[in-house]
Amino acid sequence: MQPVRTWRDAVFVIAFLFPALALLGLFIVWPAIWAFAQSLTNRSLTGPAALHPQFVGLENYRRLLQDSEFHASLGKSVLFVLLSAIIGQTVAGFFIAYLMARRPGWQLRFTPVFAAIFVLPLAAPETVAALAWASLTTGTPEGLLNRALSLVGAGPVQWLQQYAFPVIIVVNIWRGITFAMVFFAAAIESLPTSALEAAMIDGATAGQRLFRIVIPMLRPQILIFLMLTTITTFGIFGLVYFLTRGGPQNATEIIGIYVYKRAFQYFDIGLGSAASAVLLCLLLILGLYYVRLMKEQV
Amino acid sequence: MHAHRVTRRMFLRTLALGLGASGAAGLLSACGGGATPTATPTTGMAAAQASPAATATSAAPAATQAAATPTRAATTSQPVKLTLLEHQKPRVDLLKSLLPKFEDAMKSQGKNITVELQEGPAEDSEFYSKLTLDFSAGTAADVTSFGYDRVAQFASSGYLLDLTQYVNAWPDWKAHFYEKLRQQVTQSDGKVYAIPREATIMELFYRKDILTQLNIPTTQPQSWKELLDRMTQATKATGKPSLLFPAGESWGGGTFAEGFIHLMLGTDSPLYQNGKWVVRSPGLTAVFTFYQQMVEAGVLPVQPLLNPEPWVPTKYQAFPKGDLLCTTGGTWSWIFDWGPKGAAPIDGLFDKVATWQFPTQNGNGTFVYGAVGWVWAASAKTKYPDAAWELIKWLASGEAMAQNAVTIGAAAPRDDIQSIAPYSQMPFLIDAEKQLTNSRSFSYPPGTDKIEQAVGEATQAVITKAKNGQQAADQFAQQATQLLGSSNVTTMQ
Repeated sequence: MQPVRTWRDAVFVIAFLFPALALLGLFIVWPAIWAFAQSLTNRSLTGPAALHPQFVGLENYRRLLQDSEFHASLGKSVLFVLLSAIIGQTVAGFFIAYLMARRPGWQLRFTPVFAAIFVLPLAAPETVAALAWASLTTGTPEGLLNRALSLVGAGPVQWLQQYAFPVIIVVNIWRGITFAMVFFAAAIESLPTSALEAAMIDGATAGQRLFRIVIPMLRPQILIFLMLTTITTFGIFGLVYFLTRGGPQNATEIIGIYVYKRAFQYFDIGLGSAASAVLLCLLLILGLYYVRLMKEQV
Repeated sequence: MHAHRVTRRMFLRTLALGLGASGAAGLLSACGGGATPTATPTTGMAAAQASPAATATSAAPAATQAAATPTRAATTSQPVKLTLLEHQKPRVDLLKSLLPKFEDAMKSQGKNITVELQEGPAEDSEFYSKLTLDFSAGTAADVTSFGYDRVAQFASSGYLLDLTQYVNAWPDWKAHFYEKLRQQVTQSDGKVYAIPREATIMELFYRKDILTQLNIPTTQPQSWKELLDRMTQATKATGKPSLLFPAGESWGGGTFAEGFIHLMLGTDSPLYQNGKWVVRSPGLTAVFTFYQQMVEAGVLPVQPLLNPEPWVPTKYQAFPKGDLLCTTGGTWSWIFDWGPKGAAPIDGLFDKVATWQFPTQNGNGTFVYGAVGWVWAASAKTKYPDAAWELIKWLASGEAMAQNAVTIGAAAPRDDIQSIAPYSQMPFLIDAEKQLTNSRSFSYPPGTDKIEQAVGEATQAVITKAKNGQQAADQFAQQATQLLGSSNVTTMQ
């Protein structure tokens, strides 16, 4: 990497970086700072606190620590990320990509057809996808899933009442598996074939080639994907909101919905901002952890 | 030429300066406009929720606020363009037909006022989120309409224009608007921030034809027990749930406004007293226990209540079909729900359907719920307060009000509309209007939205059998206290 030697070079670099930095500052950094500032007040959108918000220090954070619903929503978010993102999207996406990738001794037929099928979830906007799944899983006998069940004499099942959390996990896996598949497919096909060919010659089984060669070589990519999907899944809102609104009985109230309800249904901006700030800190810690894991390899 | 070597430290320092400059730019741009909350995910639109009435009454002890007196009065001879926000399709369609007439009326008075109609999100909760954000940011429409339950909340936040001097100078206000409704819209600071757009009477609607066939009495039930016994008998005969009091989270604010409050008003416990919400009382426990009893008796249609748009399978399907035999409803039900152009028309409606007043817990009197329905209000930040008042006054008078009442299915909030078509052709609405003066009602003080949330979740717990009535009452008390703050609640033994 060429070092920046003169002031002119430095200005040049800054000039190129400035638009991106300005956008980051305006739309990411500044809102985060403002949100943190709001979290130290009792600001509300209605009532006396709307007219005269006051500084309350860490009161909102104290309320969060005592709010069992906040703890529950964090727990549900962690479980949601673990099951849908880390296990569902990452593992399933990786294996689908592995099956579809061309490797020495392996080529799946009709891969373009499979690729088109797996890319379909990304074609629908998040809201449309959520509403489509809501229709599919509706608890009435006319819902598509219940109609399928009726063919075998079962159902109807109140999917979004009795199995709301599993449903949102399945929907998120369905939605995110495409990106995982594309990401890992590109990574797998960039692997040097010589290593795999050598392993084949040495008599390594398919499992040994996968777990002893492919996965270790793809460790950086896997960690990058895990970091991306963990952070984005923690921030999910629309997909779950339009399916369940966080119900029934807060069963699917992940942290994004908790924040939305506090800020935009209860209009408690201070509390909503505090919850957002806590989430931001958690994600920063997670991100730093993943980065450290990636550096350890180096 | 000597090449000045830029070290890493110098580069990072310069970069930090650049970031700081961009942050300062952001600060300046944020301070330049209305401050808007940022700590939330993006919102979105949900399916429409048709629940037009959110009624409540009487002066609410609102927080004191600076009166938004109209100091920026624009001369009406100057061209004025007002914005008007509305969000339910029938109301939007009606305004589209009315607004040109308003503009013509203003022209004939030498006033050049035009109105731009803005359509908001269809679902009530999304609409109120948008409206509140608009008010907070100072970008709300000049004139808007919303449920009465929001007036105290918006007024105490300084969002609404003080209309007191306007209504006091308007002869129709005292001469024709019902005193009960005038009192309801007058806030505890003595000021008026919104005027009634309509009045709502709510009561129980029942299928008299089917109850008669089943030999179940159709006389007025006096107590909850009497009502429950009759509906239990009906459910045993038909095998279907027979009684609907909205409950659960799916019904949104309707759980409170169309279900819970009509039971609560039938107890001896107040829900709001001396400036505080009563979050624990014998009446509250009795109400949640009654929900439990309805579930245990099998009379409450639980499954539909757990799904989106629960009014569709109940009021729009089961009631017209004759499976559901009794439901809460309002004057709008005659037109909006089951009228010839309604969501679920019932042939021979007035032969098949009749009304009961709400029974009380102990059978000591029955009542209808009568209150202000929706209101008209102007934004405190409107640049044209005089013109906004002209629009509100025109919409709350004569033919405009008559058409509004018939379109929505509401009673007129003033006594001089009965002879104006098409309202004059709706005897059931005029009969409802006559019940206003003897009705019961509830003031919607600040914090109502939080109570509505707590009621939705507590009744959800009961209908899913997660909690019994007492446990649901405990949950309600705990959640309401957490949402409102312990200084705003009290309990009664």
